[in-house]
Amino acid sequence: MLRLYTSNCANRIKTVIETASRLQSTTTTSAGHKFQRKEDTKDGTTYVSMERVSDSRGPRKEDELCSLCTCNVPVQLSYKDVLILEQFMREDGTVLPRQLTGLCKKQQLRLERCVMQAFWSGLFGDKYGSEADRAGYKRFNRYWKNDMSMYQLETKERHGTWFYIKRYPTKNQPLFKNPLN
Amino acid sequence: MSYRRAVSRFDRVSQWLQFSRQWHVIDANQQDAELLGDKVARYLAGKHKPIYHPETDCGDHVVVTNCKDIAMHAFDWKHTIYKFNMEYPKSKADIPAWQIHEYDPCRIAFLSVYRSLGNNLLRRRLIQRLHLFPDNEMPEFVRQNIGSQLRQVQEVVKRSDEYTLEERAAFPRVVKFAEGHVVDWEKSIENPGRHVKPVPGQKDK
Repeated sequence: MLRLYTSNCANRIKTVIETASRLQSTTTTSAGHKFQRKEDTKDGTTYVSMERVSDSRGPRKEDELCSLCTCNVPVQLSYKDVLILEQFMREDGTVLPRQLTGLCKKQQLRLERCVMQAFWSGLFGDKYGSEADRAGYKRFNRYWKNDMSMYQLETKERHGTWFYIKRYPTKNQPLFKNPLN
Repeated sequence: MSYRRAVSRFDRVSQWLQFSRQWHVIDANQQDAELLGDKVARYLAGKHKPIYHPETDCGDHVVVTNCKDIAMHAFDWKHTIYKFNMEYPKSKADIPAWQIHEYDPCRIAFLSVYRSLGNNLLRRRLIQRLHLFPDNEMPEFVRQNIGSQLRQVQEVVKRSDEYTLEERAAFPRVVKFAEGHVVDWEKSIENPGRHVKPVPGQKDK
């Protein structure tokens, strides 16, 4: 429910918000189904109103299937579908809740896992801030077979060998300060 | 009666080429180390040729570029443990793959190819025809020898900032919002901070 705020500032900003009943009355003029906050300042008074925004996709019906289940074969979302994942994300890189996306529970959880994997693979780069931990093994490339593969952990033991043919300079880090290395 | 394809000039030349040492190049960018190792080992041993026989020395040269961008599945960089053991006292070392890769960006490719060649007497000779480069730069004689390019074992995943504006505009919109959706709800919420449980004797603020 929209609430009415009145502040007692020096310039006597009076905030007027259209009530929900007025929003319902303007539904008939269909310019779009989304609303955006709009502020106008006229001689010391700030009028806050909600204006309609059009969207290329229509509104979601109540009894509609979720956006990722509409095909006959349910869509297997993966971490590679960055452009789909970004549509369900806020500008700080978090995922929108299920109440807004309208996905079924299964697809929402899959979406969240895929976003995690895309972050870990570094597919978003510095778009959502550069605070991600890239130390140690996280610096190198990794891929994911499916969305659950981060929970299926196993330790692989490989036979290491000191036999190594180094034909060309590999730009490796010197282990010791010895110039011979 | 079996259908027989006409042998073109291209087929004939590629058949002749199989009797010589070819040089193949493969890009290791975002390729799984083990799958890449299997493929490279196959070409090093010459198993892709119909004339293959283990006693025939018909292997090819393989040049692997961009070894520093090689990939591993999930958390395998830390969960793949290479066990070095020289059977001498204090000579055991268990090193995770990422530490080896950090020290020498070509070593993981070498180890996976060496493993894929199998445990036999030939592999030390076959792996001498492997040429590993951490990035695109290579000596001029290697570049001149290269005759064919191998298909990568995995597709290279495109990062978000590599999509152009036209590709983004042409991409269909999947998300569908309900009637009466407010755009401001999609804005990011600032971190409310950690909840501090009030002490039993404390008054409410």
